[in-house]
Amino acid sequence: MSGLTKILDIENLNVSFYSDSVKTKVVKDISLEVYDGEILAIVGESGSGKSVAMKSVMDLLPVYAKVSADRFLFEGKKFLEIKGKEKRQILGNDIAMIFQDPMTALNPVKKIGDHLIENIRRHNKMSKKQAESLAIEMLERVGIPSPEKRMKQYPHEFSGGMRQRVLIAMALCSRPRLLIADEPTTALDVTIQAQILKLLKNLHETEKMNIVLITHDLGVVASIADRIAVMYGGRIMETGTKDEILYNAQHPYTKALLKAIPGTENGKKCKLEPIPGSVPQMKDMESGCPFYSRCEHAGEACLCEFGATHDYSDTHKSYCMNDLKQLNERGA
Amino acid sequence: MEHLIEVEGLYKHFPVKTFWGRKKGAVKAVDGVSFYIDKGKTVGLVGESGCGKSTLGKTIIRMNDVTAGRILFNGEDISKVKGRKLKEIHSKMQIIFQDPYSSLDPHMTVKDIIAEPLRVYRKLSEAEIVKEVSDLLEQVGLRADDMKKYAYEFSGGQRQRIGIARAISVKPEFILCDEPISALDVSIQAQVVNLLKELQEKYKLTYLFVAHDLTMVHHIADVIAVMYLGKIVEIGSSDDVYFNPKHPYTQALMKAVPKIEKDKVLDLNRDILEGDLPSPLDTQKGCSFCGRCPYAEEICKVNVPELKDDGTGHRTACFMHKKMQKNEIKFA
Repeated sequence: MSGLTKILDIENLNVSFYSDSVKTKVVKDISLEVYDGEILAIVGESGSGKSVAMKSVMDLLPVYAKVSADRFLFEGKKFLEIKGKEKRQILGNDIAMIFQDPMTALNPVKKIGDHLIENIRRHNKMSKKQAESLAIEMLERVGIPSPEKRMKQYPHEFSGGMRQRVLIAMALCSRPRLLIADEPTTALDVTIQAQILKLLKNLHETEKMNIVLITHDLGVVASIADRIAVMYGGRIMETGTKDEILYNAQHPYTKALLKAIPGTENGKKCKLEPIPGSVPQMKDMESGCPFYSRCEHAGEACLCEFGATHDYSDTHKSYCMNDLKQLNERGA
Repeated sequence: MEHLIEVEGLYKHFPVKTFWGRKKGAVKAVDGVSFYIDKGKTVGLVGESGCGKSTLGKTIIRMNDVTAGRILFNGEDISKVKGRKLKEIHSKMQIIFQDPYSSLDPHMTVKDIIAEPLRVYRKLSEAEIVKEVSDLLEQVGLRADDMKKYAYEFSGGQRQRIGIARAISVKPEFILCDEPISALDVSIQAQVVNLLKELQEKYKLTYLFVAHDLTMVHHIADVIAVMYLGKIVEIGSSDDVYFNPKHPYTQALMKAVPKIEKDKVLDLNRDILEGDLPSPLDTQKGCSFCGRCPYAEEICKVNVPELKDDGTGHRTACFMHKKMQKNEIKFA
């Protein structure tokens, strides 16, 4: 992977929320790269910090959030130092984002066409007529039938899947280099989910659009992603290619997560193996491994220090204080 | 095997009125459904959102009035009971709701939430109630002293446990589980499913498990019923329907589920079911699925298929079934 150019290159990103002089670290020292021509999936449970990490890229965090990083490069530009007009040029233009709930992301009293035209004219010098024809082209591109008619309709006249398509069309207008998709299919039915995933994959291939997909569904990841980063409690626990994570997971958390999902083969008689306990509060896991309280292999060291790095290949890394090789050989 | 619940030709239509109050039409949420649930078994009800699966469940436990048809509970028709008799029925049929956040009153302590059905249906002294509640809390894996807390102090999975404790507090025979796990994280889902199974064994409970996650339904249910637009299109034993789906809709649904197993990963380039669920307001002739069905022929547009048994108790409502069997290789 080292020969490829990095679109997004983040090292030791930290995000903290401040309220009444209490500081809560929600993203801790995460390092991420998005290479040109790949789909990166960030997997994690709710509250693992996956959305916050990517929203820091889009500058969408509330004012009480503080972002810092050792390195934060988007196409070679030092992203945290860019401000004002220059940044607005990039956001929504080179980087676009789509959200989980397509209903709340659209303005209910505005026509679909106006959503698109506003977005296009915001980033390009274009007449209304030109913008309109581009908008129609984009709606057609994302597979909305009779786009001219649909332009004049309001969001409530669209189904959930169609609304998500509209959001994708809006993001697509400026031909972004990077699309951040924050749980784009979570609110949709499985058949519609498959349609949207197919659309994203198509756009990834035809428009050369790189995608960061945030999701909690490992099945979705299996069907679309190239590389996976598993997050828990604000930290990255394991990264690797799709095959390395799904079929050769090393970290205790990733393994436990995979076991908690009913497989198709292992029959219905066997009991699911849930991860005991629940996700701890952010304030309770300042230092040490966030998985400490639920991990069956947790030891003294895990409480005060977070993971030593284990390298398995160029791409596959996991962070755990235990000697994972020994652990996995014992068949744990 | 004794049937606990038998549903015969159940209809539930919601009238749609014009602004002036004149009847315009009806949303046919449940449109002629017949099936039964054996004592101590679980029936899984799956389908896309808007197909009427929740309405069917809520009509069976008489949260809705019945438009037409019969519901037999322990051999007794409960479709038209009212008043005190209905209250008695409700004490035997309980519900677990989808959203553990909105289904618990934020102003009530956990004790009051769980004790409410006890106070309504059983006459107990205050001391007995406290004893009962602490007993229930321990059964669902919470601590007895949690009863003084409020719902917001718990995580999603723990709240769902409170909802389960409330449902089993009156010792019901039947529980409608209305998507009890879809709002939970993957690692928590397995905990709740295991808890439901434990309680089923302990109290010989009968479940109607409404969900859209097919793998989870297969894991928990003995019988799977697939609904589309107010009708059951396929019903059979869990393994039959899951491993050998016969209706084209079930097959499409099954294929759209993103799976992790290496050879079963969702292939986005293969045929994906196109289109959306049609509105239940539009009355159309023939099979309700024919607009999206890849095998639809003339007969499907005119006649409504009925559920036909294949001899093993696996029933499918499709005309094209025999033809499909011949070129099954093409489909799978």
